[in-house]
Amino acid sequence: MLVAMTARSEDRPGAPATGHLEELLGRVAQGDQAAFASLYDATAPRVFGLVKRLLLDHAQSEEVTQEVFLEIWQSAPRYSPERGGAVSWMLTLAHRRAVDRIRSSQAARDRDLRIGVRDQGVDYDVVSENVEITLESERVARALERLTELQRQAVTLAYFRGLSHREVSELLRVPIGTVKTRLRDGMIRLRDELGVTS
Amino acid sequence: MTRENSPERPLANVADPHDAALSTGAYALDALDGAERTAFEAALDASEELRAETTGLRDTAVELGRAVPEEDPGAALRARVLAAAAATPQWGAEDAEVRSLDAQRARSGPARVRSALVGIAAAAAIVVGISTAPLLTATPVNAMTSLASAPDARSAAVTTEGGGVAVLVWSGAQARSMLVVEGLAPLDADERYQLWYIDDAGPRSAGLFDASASGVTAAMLAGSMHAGDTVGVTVEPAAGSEAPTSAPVVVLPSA
Repeated sequence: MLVAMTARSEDRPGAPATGHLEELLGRVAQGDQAAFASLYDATAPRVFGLVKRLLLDHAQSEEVTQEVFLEIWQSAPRYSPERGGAVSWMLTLAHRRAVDRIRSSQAARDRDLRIGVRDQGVDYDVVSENVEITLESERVARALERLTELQRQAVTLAYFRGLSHREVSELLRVPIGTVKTRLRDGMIRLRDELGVTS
Repeated sequence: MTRENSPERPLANVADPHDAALSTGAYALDALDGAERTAFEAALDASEELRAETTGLRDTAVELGRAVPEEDPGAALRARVLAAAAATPQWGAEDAEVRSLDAQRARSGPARVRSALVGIAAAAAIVVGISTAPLLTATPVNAMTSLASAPDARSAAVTTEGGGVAVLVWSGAQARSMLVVEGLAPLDADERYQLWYIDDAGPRSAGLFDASASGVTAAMLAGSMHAGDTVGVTVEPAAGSEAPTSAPVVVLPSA
């Protein structure tokens, strides 16, 4: 299975000036609705882009994006900048919410997967097609290319398609323990390639 | 619910350190299912090493998220979101002291917890007083007030899958605990929520209860709590089960 990555544009150096967003979030925590509107305007395309990447369906992506922003509004008083930047916090929340939505229709999904796994030819076509992802960041695309094939498949299926490690294991016909290990060492490799420090 | 579900998601391994150490990548990618995620978060709380690795991998996952092209969600969504926010109260910063990652697990000293909890427990106790089932025999209002105001009362909180907060309050001296859960879904008539104390020997039943219509459910656990027990809630047949037959909906470690 081929996982293709297309870098659509050059990296923007580093993250956008995030100090402003943390400041907005601080005002949101005080109940400032105008600040919330500004925060929404600054970040909604990013949140929606990620959610839709996972859910594909437009209407569901709108619903989940709304849930995400409502949670941001409600839990802003509990946000603390020491735990990470505003965008990190919001994207982490968005990814989890989107994955939760995918899992909530788990029964149907399990069935689809079983059908897919049973019919190997169809399955592999579907996978390779869906895993072809467009990334805005050449840096991230390059880092992904440095992973082993199995690491890249596992990480990509989990993050960009929202599959659980069980589903990844079924789909790739690899034992579940191996999938867990590849997700871990793949992410460690990515972390080091991207120079993420925490 | 059938027993055959349980081996896949055993309650007993909630904080298995070996499994947790291998699960940091899966957790960071949201690839653990609900029960495993909760169990991993319990393990996270116990290990600084695990937290450090998980934070780094979480940040790495965010880099993947940032690499996805942006997409304009449209003006209609903006209006809905802003209207919904205007109509929705925010959570207080004092409700929970957020400590580890996004697990929103809270743990703090008795005095601080008590003030927040006596209110919520007292409000919930009224509901429990009406709707409590025979297995929960203690007089809820008195027992809860006594527990929440115990000099050695401790608490831990997690965010449930539905986005509510679940708080466990316990007292070592009283060997008792109570659980307060926000937004627990009502069940069909043939099912009930069952409480479990979980330790290395496995789960033991701590009674059955129903979700309250008020949105906040409080339940005293039956039996004695041992130091370090984890408390779990599962959905079981109305008569209760001898051992959990489904994945837990809430898991709260007290260690």
